[in-house]
Amino acid sequence: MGDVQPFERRLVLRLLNHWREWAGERGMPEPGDVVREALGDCLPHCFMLTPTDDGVLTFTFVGSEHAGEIGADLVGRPLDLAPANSLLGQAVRAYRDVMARRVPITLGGEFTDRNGRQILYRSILCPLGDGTPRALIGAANGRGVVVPIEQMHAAQ
Amino acid sequence: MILYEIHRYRQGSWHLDSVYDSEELAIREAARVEQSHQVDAVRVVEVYDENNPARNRVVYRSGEVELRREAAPRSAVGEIQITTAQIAGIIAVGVVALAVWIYLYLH
Repeated sequence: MGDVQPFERRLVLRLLNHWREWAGERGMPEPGDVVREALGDCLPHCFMLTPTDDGVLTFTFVGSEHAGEIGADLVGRPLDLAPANSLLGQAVRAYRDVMARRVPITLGGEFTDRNGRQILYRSILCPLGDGTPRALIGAANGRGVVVPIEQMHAAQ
Repeated sequence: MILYEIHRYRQGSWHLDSVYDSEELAIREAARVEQSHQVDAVRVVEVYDENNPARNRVVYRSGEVELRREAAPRSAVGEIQITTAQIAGIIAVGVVALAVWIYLYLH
């Protein structure tokens, strides 16, 4: 097979591809290997977390899509301030597993956002570090689920 | 929750590569890893229960390692076929010997 890969349109696999490129032969890339400019149109859906001196994972970058959805700037704020009813909050749920297993984890599902809409989403969280993960880069996107009118009436 | 793990085979052992909750996504990525990275083989393992590996099953596989593993049952089938042919030959020789014995006994 040649090196030419077909264009991957899925956000999570595109970020994973960048992560693999940055890692090269290593198990994972280091935070300094991340080139945000290379993320192109993935960037608004991405976020990055690095630990503070006291080991608290803190957002060092939050893409514009997430910032817009939450309506607040979470840069410099700890991970647990990401609201559970947001894409960002759903995307960071697996952070303990990623730290423990030292590999990227991709999860999807449904949640109700702050406007009461059902959102179908997919996310990825990838470890960053020198063999031992100490930071994370991730991405998430989603779309509203159309609720059938019969179901709406049934719920009322 | 059922998870799908991509494992890559390198330098004589399997290594966890990434984890998914979607079989389709895991297989798609496994095929991509196989094409674009220096690996001997790639597999996707369906994990029902991390504490009970006996329930895990391989849902996608590729590469020389798995092909070699698959070759073993085929050679076993070959041995069974040879044994069956030998048994048929022994039975045929027995039938002929019995017929000769009956002929000689009656005459």
